[in-house]
Amino acid sequence: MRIRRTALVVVLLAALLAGVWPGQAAPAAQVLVETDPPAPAIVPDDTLVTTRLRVVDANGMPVRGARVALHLDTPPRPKVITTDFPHVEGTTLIDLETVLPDGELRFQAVYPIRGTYTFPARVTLPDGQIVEATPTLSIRENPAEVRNMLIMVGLLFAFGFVSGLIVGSGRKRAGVAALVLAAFWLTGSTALAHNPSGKEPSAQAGPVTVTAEADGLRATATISPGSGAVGRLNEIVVRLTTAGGQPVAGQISLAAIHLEDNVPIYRFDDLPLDDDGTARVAVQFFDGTEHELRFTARATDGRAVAWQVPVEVVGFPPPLNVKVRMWLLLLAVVALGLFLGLWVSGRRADRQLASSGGYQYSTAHRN
Amino acid sequence: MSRVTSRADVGRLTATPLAQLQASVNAQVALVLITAALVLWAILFSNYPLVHDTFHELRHSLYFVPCH
Repeated sequence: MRIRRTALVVVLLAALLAGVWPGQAAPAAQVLVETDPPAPAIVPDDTLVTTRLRVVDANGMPVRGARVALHLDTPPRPKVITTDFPHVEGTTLIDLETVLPDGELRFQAVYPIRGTYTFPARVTLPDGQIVEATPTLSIRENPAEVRNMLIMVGLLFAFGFVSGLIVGSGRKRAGVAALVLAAFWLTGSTALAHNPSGKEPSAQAGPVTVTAEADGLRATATISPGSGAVGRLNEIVVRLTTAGGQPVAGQISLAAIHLEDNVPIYRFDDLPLDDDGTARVAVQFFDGTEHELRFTARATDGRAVAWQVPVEVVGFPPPLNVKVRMWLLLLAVVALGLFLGLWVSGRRADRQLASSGGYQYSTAHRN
Repeated sequence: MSRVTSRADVGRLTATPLAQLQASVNAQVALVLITAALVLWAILFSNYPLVHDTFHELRHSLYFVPCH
């Protein structure tokens, strides 16, 4: 009887908590992230991905006029196997705040590394409610890179194994020794050098402002800092005014172009300008090479002005501890093959010894 | 001529040559590993601009090689 009463109290408490616990209430809105192509088809550092961040109500309908503050954060640093861009791991790729007239933010971006990207978003709904969400996007490593890695590991293991067989045979291999020494000479002179030319891209620490005028419009883009650095955000503020300096309502489009490959790495189309005629977005240039920002600002009456700003990006060598870790892993593969080759060679010698009934040794070697 | 039936017998009978052989094996193993280490470092991890630029695409085509 007492047990039944206790159980009843527990059930009632659970029902009560389920009813009043804030987490159980239906959220006022949801933040969804969708990509084109879908995540499994995205190749890091290659595919220009159209990403849609949608704010929808409980019925799945878009919430028009919401304001979103969004980060796009890169995956954290992997524990063992590094990515192509260690300085990008665990950093922010995009940071922006804008109004979503149709409940959707659409942009294009190249995702530089594999892993799970997070989109911490703080959405202010038209009725003033605030919704916070962190959608994620998981991207697999480039299949070609995985295949190449397996081939590389196989080759290193084979090199070690054959070397082990040769060394274990105990015969003199003058040719192999010469080859080894030649490889040593060819690579040793460069192996320990660290950027001996000392030439680094010149960094522009202060902001750079470029102004363009057309059709009675004046557009200004301020990039701060004026040059990029891998792992760091560059804030881009665009302002559209009349020639007299009055804010103009409209939209801006901007594209960040990787000049070496002449491909966009980011593209934002039709970002609405705030009441003061400005739009703000921060992006990270994840490759240490020259880029160009191409802007088009459009007033609501159809007038437009286009201009571009070059951005030099400073690249950094990967962290030494990451390089050493990966180097030791590769060396371990060679060592594994080498010692397996030695072991096989020893076993082969033992079998030959057993099958021949023993060595015929000259007494000249007796002590 | 004397008949030897195990590698241990060889060791007892030819202590000095076998020790030299073993030393040679160790030296060769070390040489192979050092060479592999240097070549791997130079091709895949060196920041020397000429080498880096030459093998840049190779580095980016491998799963585990950091480039920037």
